[in-house]
Amino acid sequence: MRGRPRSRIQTTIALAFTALVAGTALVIALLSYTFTEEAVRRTSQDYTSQLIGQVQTSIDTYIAHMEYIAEVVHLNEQVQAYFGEERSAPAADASGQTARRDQIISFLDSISRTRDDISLILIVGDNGEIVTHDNSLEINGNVLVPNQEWYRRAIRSSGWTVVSPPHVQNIIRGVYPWVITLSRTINDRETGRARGVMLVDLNFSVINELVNRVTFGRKGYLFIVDPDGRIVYHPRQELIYSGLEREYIDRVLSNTYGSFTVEDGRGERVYTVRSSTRTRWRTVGVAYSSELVRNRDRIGRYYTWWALLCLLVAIAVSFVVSVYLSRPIMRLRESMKAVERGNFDIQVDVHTSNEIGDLARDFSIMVAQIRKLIRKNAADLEQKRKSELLALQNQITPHFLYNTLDSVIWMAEARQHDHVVTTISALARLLRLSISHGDELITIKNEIEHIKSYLTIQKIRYRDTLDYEILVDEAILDFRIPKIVLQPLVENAIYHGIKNKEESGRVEIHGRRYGSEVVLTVVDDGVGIPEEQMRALLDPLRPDGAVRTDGRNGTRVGVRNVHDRIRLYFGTSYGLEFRSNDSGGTSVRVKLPVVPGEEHT
Amino acid sequence: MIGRRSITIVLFVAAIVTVVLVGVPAVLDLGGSSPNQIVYVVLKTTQPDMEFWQVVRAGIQAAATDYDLRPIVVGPRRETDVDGQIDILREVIEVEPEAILLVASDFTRLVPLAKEADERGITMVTLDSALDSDVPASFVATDNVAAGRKAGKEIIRLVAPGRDIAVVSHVPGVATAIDRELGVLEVLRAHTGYPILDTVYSQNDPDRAYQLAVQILDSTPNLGGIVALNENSTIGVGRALRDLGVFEHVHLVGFDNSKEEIKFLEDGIADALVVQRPFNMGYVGIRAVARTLRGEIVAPVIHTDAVLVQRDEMFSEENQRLLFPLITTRPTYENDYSVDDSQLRP
Repeated sequence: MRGRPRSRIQTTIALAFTALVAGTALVIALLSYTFTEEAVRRTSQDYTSQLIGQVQTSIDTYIAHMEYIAEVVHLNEQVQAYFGEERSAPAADASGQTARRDQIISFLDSISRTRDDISLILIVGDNGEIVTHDNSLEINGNVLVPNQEWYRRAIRSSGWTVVSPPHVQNIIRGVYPWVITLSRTINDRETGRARGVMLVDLNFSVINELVNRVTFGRKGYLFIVDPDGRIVYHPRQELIYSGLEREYIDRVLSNTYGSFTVEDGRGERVYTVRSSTRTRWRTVGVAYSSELVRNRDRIGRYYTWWALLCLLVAIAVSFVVSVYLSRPIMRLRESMKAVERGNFDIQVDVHTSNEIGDLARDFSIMVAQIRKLIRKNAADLEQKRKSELLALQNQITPHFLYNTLDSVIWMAEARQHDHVVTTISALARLLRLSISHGDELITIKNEIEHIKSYLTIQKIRYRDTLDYEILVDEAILDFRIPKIVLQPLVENAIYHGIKNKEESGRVEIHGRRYGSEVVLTVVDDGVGIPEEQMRALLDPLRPDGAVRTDGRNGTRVGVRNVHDRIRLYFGTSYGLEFRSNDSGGTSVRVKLPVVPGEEHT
Repeated sequence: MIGRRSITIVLFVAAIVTVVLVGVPAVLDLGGSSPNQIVYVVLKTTQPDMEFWQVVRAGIQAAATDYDLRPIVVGPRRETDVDGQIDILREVIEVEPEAILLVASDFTRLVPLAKEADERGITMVTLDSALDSDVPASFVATDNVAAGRKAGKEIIRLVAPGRDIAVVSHVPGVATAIDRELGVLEVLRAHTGYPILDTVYSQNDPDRAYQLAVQILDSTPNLGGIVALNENSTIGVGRALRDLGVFEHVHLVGFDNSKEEIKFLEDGIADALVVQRPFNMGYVGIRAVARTLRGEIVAPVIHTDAVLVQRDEMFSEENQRLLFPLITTRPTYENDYSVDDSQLRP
């Protein structure tokens, strides 16, 4: 029993509690993590979007400023005069034009000096004449101006400023700067006719640097394409051109505003597209989903910490709670075990104020009740035994007394005084022996005397038909036996053995010691008892020995009581034994333990 | 009662120990984001005005970001400083980085160091210029034979059949010279009707190339075109054609994209230039390093292609990128660790 798991309630409570809290903590942590991750992701996306917006606004502001410069140049009096309709007017003299040209150059020069990111301001007239902000610049003779993109686009969208994507400007001999070109036609103020094209070149490095600094995470990047899908800026341009990498320019072009997600071998990326109304360029932020939540690990660790802390607290609390709940139960169980083993004198040591406490108190009360009942029961049993004995002893006397007194009356009527005297004195002796001793055990000597008196009376009653002899070993006379053992047996022998016999009968009483036993035997030579009836006499299943073959069952009851009393005193290995004699009679052996006599008799 | 309680306590302590053992590493773990592996990039030169190498570095940077590596770029100032590179490489090996991407300035002299690096378990990949050793896991370079073929095809397109074609190479026995010549001659020989003059060598000197070109022009009246196999050869030949004023009759297909060459191209002195892709070379080089470190099998030779740029196309969207490289190195964390000189340790 000791080897089995015992603290099952405690373990169950602790495990259940821990599992509950752990589960809850896990679910909450997971939910919080997901929620936080989503929130961070959304914030990141907002940030990306904002950043793109900022980049775009910067570029737009920049371009707007350049457009303003272009407008200023275009509206300049000298420019209008030099390139406009007046040029072909007859009034225009050569020297005046030369002076204008110089003024224009110094005007353009002063404008270009306002910002150092302007690399070139150039006006080309429809006659092919070129004026730049610096007269010392040599025009590259290899360049066919009408073939240049900036020129063609300006002519096409007459009067509007057009922005060409970054390219190498080769119109000035010997230098090849990367620029963004703003170009527009010079329109005559009067007629509106295009009389030339002007360009403003911006150092691309300005935009390059502006965009270059924008990163989304470690790998995320930003790129810009023009409405035709040509790359304005892309940090991985070389890879795209050489086919090492492809960019989703078509998808970008079909989105003017918004975002889409791309999943290929390089990992999931979120493309956020913004379009400029000024340049119509699309600024695209590419953020890697894995990097969008930059602090994913930290968030994860944060929640793991809390979940673990909860778990620790849960384990501790569940341990305490399980001990608190199960200890009284253990104690109660200990007490119950003690009761189970028969110890009713226990005190249940539980002082909790909950149901278990109630249970323990109830159990204590119950045990006390049981204790009381057991004691009462024992007392009752003792009482019953005593009264039974008493009844038994008393039962003999009146029954016999009536018969004897009947006999005495009969003898007195017949004036047989001697017999009357003998009978009465025997009766007196008998009664004295029966009543005088309060003790339950008497000496065999007394019992013999008692039976002698009895037989004296019976002999007078039955006269010649009854003969008796007492053959008891002198050595056992002082041994003690329960009183009135022999009388019911003798009575039985007389009533059932001899009374029904035609001729006279004989009763013999033997007494001897066999080792630690004393055996008294009542032998008669009467009609005998049938085997079955004999067995029934002592059958414990029929406590009355109720085999009622005739009306006189008193002696049967007496025999039975003798048997029961002996067994009650000395145990089941003692008692009566019936046996049929060879002569047809019956012998009853009374087996008793040797109980040595005491000084008083 | 004592036994029971001690069992519970043991369970309790075991639970806490488990939580701590499982939890603490999980919490303290840096989320698997182990610090990036360091790759030392040993260049021939770190001079900022060397455009070609600046673009290579941009490619290196881009690939390093993509493959989570931390490149530290080192190298001598001058491209010809072989001893300087040897010293630097020796120092780099002492640091024992995960990998070295080497642009060997000498075919044989760095071989012992490559062996030592190999003994120390350092992954090595060579870039642009090979090493006479089987230690490097891979060699990443322009496919010079293919580049030569492109030049050959172009000169045939330009020159009418029956006219002579000359090849001006740089240094005999040098890998690029051999490969490019091979490619050019392969195409020329496939087209009968183009007499091929014996290859001459400029020794990587523009003046020598100039003289050679003048000699050829003098001795070969039927000359239809010249293929010059590297930058200095092209410059020398271009100058000669310009000075003698014969560039309208004699076609020139050159290699590389120096300022002067571009001017030749624009002025029509040169008809086409074969240009490498240094960005891709750098990118592919680092990619090869990354893949080797991951334990993948990498081809022993990886070629990046070269592009033929014709005069009419020199300002096309893609070609102007190649001819006029715009260095767009993005500012990243790794940039902090890039050093130009021999300051090796971060």
